[in-house]
Amino acid sequence: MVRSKKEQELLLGTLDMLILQTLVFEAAHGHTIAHVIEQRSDDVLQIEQGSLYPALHRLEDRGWLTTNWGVSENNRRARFYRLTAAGRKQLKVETNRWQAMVKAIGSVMENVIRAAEQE
Amino acid sequence: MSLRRFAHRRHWDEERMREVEAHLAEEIDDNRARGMTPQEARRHAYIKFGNTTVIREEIRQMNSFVAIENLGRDIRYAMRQLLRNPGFAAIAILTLALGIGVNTAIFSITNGLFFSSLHIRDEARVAEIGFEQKSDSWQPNLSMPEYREVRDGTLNVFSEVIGERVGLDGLSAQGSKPDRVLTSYVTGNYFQMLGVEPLLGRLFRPSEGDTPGSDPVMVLSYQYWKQHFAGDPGIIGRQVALNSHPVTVIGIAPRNFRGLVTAPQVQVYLPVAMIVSIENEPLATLNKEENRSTHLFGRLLPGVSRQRADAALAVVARRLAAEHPDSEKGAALRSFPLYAGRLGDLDSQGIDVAAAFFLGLAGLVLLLACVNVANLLLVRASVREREMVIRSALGAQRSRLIRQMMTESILLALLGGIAGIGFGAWGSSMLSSVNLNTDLPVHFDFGFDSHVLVFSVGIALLAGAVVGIVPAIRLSRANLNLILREGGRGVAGGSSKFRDALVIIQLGSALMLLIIAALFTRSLAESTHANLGFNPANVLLLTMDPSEIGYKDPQTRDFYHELLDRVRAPGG
Repeated sequence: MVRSKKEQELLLGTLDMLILQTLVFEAAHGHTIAHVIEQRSDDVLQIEQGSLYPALHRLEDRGWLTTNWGVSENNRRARFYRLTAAGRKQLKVETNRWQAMVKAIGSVMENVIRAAEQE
Repeated sequence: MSLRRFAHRRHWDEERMREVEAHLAEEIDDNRARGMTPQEARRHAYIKFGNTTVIREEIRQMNSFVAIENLGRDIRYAMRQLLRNPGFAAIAILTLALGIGVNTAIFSITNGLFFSSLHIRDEARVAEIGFEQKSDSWQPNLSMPEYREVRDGTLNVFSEVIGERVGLDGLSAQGSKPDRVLTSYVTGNYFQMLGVEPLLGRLFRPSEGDTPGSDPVMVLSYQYWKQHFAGDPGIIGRQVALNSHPVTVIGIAPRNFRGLVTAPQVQVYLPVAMIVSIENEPLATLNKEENRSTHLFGRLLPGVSRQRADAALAVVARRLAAEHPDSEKGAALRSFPLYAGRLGDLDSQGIDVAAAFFLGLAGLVLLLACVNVANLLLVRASVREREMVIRSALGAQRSRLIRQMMTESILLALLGGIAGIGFGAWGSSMLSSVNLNTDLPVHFDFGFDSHVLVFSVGIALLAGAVVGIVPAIRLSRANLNLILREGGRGVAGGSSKFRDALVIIQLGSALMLLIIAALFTRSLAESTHANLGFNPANVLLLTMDPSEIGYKDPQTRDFYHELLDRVRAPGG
């Protein structure tokens, strides 16, 4: 559960990546995106749904997403977001960066874990 | 963010809001499908979504030049707030106007006396020369022989040295009653060295002023020409009488040139050697080493510092002392920056201290005004606490609230500043026309130049910031829960300590100002009762100067004898 402001800020950097990732296979509207992220993370990442929209706006602004109005599963009008070619490239960039970071943090923490095991 | 986006920001706003509504509808549907009641479904959807206003604002900020837009909105809102409480606004503006007005007036005086431009060429390169003997204090007065020694002995540091001696004479045009004027007897190179060009006619030639009594020509100051000759250009070439000596007016000095001494303003300029005929001063007296009454100014050569000039002056002083052991023993010469001698005293520290003292007093008045207004704002702040709480509950950021409150107080202060500049202009014109009850033609002119305006606007902004910051921070910290529980009555408890401090500052500085004012009044009153060493009862003072109508010494003596006889005569 992400509650505090600090945690939200931490998430903000990765939120863009998560959104882009959600849209890799098919276009989706905001509500779906929010639920997909929650479900795929086994409800660990419960984003405040509202914060999704400024992020979507920003991604669209940068040309990584395109949108059009469509009809949702529940027969409501909704704006669907689709990944652009630039967005796909950006997703790769962010994924690489993320993996490098995870690896780096992992190797730092490994030492700590080993030290803890030795004790 | 782009301009295109900015132009369509309203459209974008609507688009996003529709999207958000759609999202919430989906979520409500989902929740109902999970078996919640309609109310519960709605509530949970909104909780999960977060604050829609904040999100809307965040998106809008991406599309606009937020700072400018917000500023415009804040100013409009602040205007409405002030108009809603005209009484409060009037009192606050008036209070600030008084504080700023006093500061403006005092600053315009210090500026006029000490710091305003003299309107001469390259002011910073002109130095005043001071004289000292027997470790007395530095005096700005030298004698004419000393002038010549300085002029000839400093050719390697000063491009030119001028001398100026001030006197009082009677000027009459076409046989009219003589008018007392402040005359400046200057060396012929005076105007040329200062780089002053005539408004009309011509100014002195370097040769004028060398031969005693030979150049009966005069230059009028612009102000005197306007006042006494109604700005008549036909005055050039006409003869007037100065102490009954015919003198020809040859030119008018430019409007902004008011001489090198600022408090009493020179009205008439004559070549220095005319002292001999006009003031009946024997040539021997004029050329006496001890007759020190001439101000000396030198223009530094390019690249020469005042230190180098001082070294050259020291050489001159040593030579003077060696050549005239009786009159010049222990003489010393030094240069001073031009502003140091503006009040006729070279002790520049005195000027700084006096200026700082009066500005300090004025600052205290402003502080009092600020504290007063801050208190008013604090009282109003507790009334407006509810408004602030509601606005922050609706998603207004703390920085936005502070900025908006600050806009209000700075607007208040700027309005006060405008009124204050009006007050200040009135005050300084009152002070300019003050009658000093002296014979001297003292005409203060504390004009408003750009320095004064910048100063006034500056202190207005400062006052606005000082006045607004405390209530703004307090308001933005207002505690939501506490206030809602209090039923909107507002809580003022937390501020009492701060307000106590304000009251203490207020009382303290008001008391201090009162004491200073009382001391001034008392010493003024004391001076009228001071023991003069004689009984002042029934003693009248009468001053006159028969030389101003051209009386020679024997005539003057006869005049006084006759006057005495007539006054003594019974019923006279």
